[in-house]
Amino acid sequence: MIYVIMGSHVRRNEAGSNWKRNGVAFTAASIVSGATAGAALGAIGGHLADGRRSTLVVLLAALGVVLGLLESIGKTPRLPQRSCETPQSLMRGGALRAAIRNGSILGVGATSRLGFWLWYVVPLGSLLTGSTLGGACVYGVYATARGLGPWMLIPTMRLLARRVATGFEGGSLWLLGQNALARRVAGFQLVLLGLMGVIGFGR
Amino acid sequence: MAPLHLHGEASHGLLRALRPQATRRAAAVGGAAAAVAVAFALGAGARSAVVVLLLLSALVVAIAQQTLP
Repeated sequence: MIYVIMGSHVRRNEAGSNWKRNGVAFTAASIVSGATAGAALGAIGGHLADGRRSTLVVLLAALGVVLGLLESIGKTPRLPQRSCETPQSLMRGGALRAAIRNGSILGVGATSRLGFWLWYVVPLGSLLTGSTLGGACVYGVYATARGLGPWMLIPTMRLLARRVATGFEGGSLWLLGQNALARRVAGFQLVLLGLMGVIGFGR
Repeated sequence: MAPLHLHGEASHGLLRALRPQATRRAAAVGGAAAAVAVAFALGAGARSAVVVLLLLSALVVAIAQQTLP
């Protein structure tokens, strides 16, 4: 994501201010695609009867508790996902176009590496809200947070690169090193959501 | 070879320096999530807590995915 925004033609640590233009495009594309996907899912979920939706919530919440517990103790069951890197073909149309396409892909997330069981909460939650606005809000939060990533990551990594003299890749390595921690937090979050789902909709 | 060697040492230093801070931050986020859930469950009801937790989950997973290779 970061290298797409900073442009493949730019050498590391020498990127100019162009990344900001690309970053705006990336963020906007991410939010639009995510909110649209959520609205569509919410509209589809609106066709489900209330009783059936509540039953689905309870079943999925119970499954979420189990998966969240396993994930938080490091025994993550195999995740159904299309685990792939950002396609290199994305870079062919220029940095701005690549940023827009990358933002659209990551804003929805389904066709990129998912990594965590918690991700499934986003589309399923959007669906089960049963409303266009609700779905757009849930998916919109995800897409906005994903879309804002470069605005935090690029300046932070530049700062770290200057202060600790690691080079830009030092920050990336640090981030990758936090994956186990992120897995525990995501697992815990899934357990919490699952428990509240069972309590809230199981009565 | 020398620049690569220095780069490696600096990276390990960075990891050591930032790990406790990140752990504390993650624990704070988790604690805040639990507090919000309990508050809503006691106050507005469990279903409202589910909505808040759902939005929080969307935020958490988006941040967590930044750690993927």
